[in-house]
Amino acid sequence: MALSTDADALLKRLQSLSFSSKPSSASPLNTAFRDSLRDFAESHDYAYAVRPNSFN
Amino acid sequence: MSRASAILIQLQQDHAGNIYISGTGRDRELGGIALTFSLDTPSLSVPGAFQSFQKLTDSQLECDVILLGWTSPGGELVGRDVWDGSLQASEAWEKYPDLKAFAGEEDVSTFALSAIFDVHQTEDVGATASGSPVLITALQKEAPTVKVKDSSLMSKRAPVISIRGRDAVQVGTKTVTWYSEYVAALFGNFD
Repeated sequence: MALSTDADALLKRLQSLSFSSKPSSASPLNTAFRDSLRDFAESHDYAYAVRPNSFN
Repeated sequence: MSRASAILIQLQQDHAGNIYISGTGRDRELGGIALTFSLDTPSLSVPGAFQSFQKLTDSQLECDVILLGWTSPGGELVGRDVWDGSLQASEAWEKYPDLKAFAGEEDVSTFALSAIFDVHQTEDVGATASGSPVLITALQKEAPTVKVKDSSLMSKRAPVISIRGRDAVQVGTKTVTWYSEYVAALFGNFD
């Protein structure tokens, strides 16, 4: 199954954050990427993107 | 019961800062199958893990399918080492004080896994694999043409496999599907 447009865009954003969000000098943790993952998991948009008819 | 009520996406963190995003399987008593990547350093496994997760959660396997981000400050897979028991959480917190923020989260020991997959999609034609014999055997049943390489890849708590190449997602999802049925059958014999 091909990625839907929404899921594809989301994946590109996460991939970009994984590479471009450098941990700050104050913290070795990539908080931007971690926050986006949490948003991803809590997003209803993702659930719809993966399973369009799930909530019917 | 609608399908939506049967399939959940669940977010959890452990006290090493690892992030688990679980798509629930049909048997919640089985250990989940993890698709892993690094959280704090650039990870080429992000696309393969996410695409595999999407395909597999849509199928709803027997086992949970888990997107698992390992804590990895400075490129060191600290989260995996704590999960595996080769590093104490207290040692990780001492070395990386920022990880103390997760001290109130659940102990890594509560997160049982049936297998750990690293699915790394590259431009290389076909796929290559390395890892634990039980997962290599599973892979060879589903994708017999995949080249198998020797590896020291291992974990004390779960079998591990790394799959690389253009077909990594296709091969990885087939192998996860087969292995999920295998785990369900294995534990079904004890019921």
